[in-house]
Amino acid sequence: MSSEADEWNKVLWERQPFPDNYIHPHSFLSSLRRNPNFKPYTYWPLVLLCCAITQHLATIFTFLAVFVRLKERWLDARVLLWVSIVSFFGGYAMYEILSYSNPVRDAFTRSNTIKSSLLVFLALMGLSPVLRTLTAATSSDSIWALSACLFFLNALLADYSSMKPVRQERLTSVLSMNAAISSSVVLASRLPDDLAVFALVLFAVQLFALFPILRHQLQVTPQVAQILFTLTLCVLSFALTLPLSVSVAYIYAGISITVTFVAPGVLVWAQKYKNEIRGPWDVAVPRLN
Amino acid sequence: MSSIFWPCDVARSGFCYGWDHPTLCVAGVLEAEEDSHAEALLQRVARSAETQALIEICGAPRVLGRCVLSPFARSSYPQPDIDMFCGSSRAHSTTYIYYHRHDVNSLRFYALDSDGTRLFELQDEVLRWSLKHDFSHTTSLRSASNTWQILVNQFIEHEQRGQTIDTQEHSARFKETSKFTAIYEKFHCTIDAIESSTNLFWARKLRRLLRGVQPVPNGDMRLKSSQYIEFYNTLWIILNDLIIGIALRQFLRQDRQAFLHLFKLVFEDKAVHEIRQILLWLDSWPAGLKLNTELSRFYSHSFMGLIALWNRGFRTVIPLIPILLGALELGSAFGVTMALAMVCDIVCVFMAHVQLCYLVSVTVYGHLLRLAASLWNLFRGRRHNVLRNRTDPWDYDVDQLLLGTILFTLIAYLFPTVLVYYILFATMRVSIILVYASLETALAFMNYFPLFALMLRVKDPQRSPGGIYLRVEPTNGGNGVDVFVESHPLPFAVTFSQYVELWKRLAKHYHPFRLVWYVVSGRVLDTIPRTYVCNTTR
Repeated sequence: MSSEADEWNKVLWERQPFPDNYIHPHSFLSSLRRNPNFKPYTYWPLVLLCCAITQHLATIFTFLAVFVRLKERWLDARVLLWVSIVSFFGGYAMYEILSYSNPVRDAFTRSNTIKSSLLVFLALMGLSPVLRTLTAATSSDSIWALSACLFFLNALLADYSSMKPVRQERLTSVLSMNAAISSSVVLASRLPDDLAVFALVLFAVQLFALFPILRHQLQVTPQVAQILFTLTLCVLSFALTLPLSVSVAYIYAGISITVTFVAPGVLVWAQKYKNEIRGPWDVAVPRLN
Repeated sequence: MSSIFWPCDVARSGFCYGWDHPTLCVAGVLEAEEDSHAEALLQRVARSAETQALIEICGAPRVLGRCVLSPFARSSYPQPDIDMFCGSSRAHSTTYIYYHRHDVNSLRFYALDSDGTRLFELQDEVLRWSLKHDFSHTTSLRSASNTWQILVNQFIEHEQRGQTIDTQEHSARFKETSKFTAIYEKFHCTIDAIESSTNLFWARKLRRLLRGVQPVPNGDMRLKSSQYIEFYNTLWIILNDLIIGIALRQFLRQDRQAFLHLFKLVFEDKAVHEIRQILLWLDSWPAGLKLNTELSRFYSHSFMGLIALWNRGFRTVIPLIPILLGALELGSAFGVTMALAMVCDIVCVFMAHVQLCYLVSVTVYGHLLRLAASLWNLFRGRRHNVLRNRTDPWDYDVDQLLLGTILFTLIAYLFPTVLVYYILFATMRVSIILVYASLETALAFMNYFPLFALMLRVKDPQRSPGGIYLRVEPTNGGNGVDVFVESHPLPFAVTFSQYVELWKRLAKHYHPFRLVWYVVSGRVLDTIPRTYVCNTTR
């Protein structure tokens, strides 16, 4: 009997004295693999990767702080405008420097960029009176609630990945940008005059549409630079929020620290529950080079 | 056991003639002493012009044999003993299948199919001639017997003429011709009178009909009967129309003041002031719904401006309204269809301002919807490929995405305002269309109802046949059966076929689902074009 069992091959094109569904007890489920491609997360690289989320949250709170200042007329709209323009050029320069390694840039793309940014600038300038009165009739409470929901959606759907960005934006990242712009338009209806509206919406476009591109590029820089950058942003937003409302500032700080330090720890701890079963019965995944 | 088709009413002895292929059919009995006389008589009849067409389709009738009728018949129907000249000698046990030889002027005939549409198409000359050739295009038994049936009907007519050979028949037919042309003259002026009305299509039909009614030289019974039915149906419908129209005119005359008041109420109070009130209501947070203030104000002011313009025009026309009502009365003297058509036109003209506002709002709404669809494609990263009529994946630039985002926020916040105004005018337009549709349906009902065919079916079913069946009943004597060829009357579905077709077209155009879909997708609603209605009735 054992000699026969030794003769058993797991093939069906050979006539064997065993039934078709016979499995030798030794080899039952022998090719089952648990977590075959498992590379467990380690804590500090994970923290570094979570910096993207922290940066995004920082930008949101910066924006909110700027809005409150604009509304209370503590900040002049023209100052904000100049800040936006300067930071646009600064960011563009940084983007150019960072993508020095693979220069896809040529004169055509550069002029295209200039043209499109000018187009957006002028379009916003023309549309700002309309944007101011879009939701003017809604009461302020609904505005705050709507804005909060939209920013939450934005934070949820944003693109935090550190891989090379695909040429075409995914739908979720476009939707998150939509949510952020809608939210800023909704908030802008509370502002007193057209210039403030223009400045705010331009600032929002910069922060939520152009900044994520820069953030993608930043993730290839050495780690120290990333950490420094994240820290700068967080401190900036904290400092901007603190004079307005202490409680909100501390809540923000709490959220930031949780997201940056606590959440990766939880994820690392939860790795031990990972139980992925693979075997030859799975659909084969072709490896494309 | 063989079967002979024998005419019911022949009960004399003599030489019987008819056809013997595809089956034995006796067309009649000639009273002659010898068969040579019978042959000669047959030849003389066969030489006449009308019989030529018959002969070339079905072959010449021949003298089949000699029949002797016993005076003491076992049944009430003739059972002659036939002595055939040709073919095998028949045994005595032949079955006689009796058929009716209808009188020429009774317009009764047999038809093997219930293709009643033939009835109404045969007035077209071209169609008539092609129909003649249609008879000879088959070789099967059934169609041949179809031919045979029709031709038997025709030949009966000729046989009567041939037998008597008198000119009275001819003059009677000539009188018939003149009768038709006289009626045609009389109607000529009426046709010209109604030509200028909106019932133009109907007058055209009448004219074509009368032009097509010409004496049929070959005695094609089917054609004749269909022409007859069509002519009298139209006549009856016209008279019906006129009578009801005159009654309506009396009614309108008596209550002039009330109608004037009703007119003013509907077209001024409701259509003008009511709309203005509703527009004002929409501008000020209707039902607590907060619309975009600027856009709403702009919309309501422009619409109110349009309506004020219309109102000014209306005020200048108000003194002329009694004249309009007088014209309506005069129109209804020409028939209730004329009155209905005039009411249709009045509704269209006096609701022109609603139509204009509807056009404006449907354009804006439609554009917004298409823009939203295009933006949705933008966000998904797809683009509409016009060459292949599909959406393909496409890389958009950042600035395109950005502008798309800004436009999307604009649309999202302006859409409720546009929607509210659009719903108002779309509802009004739909109700106007429904009123128009019901008027059109009433018009179609008055115009195309096949009254005469229905009455004929009740009065004399053999004049509108829709197929034959063989009725078998036992003889009075006991053994043996009698078989009769009877005709089914035309089924209702065929009589009303034209009518059902028209109804289907109306229903298809004014279907509620279709209307709702057009409203939702921002397409312009229109009334049914005249060509749709006319095409069903040539």
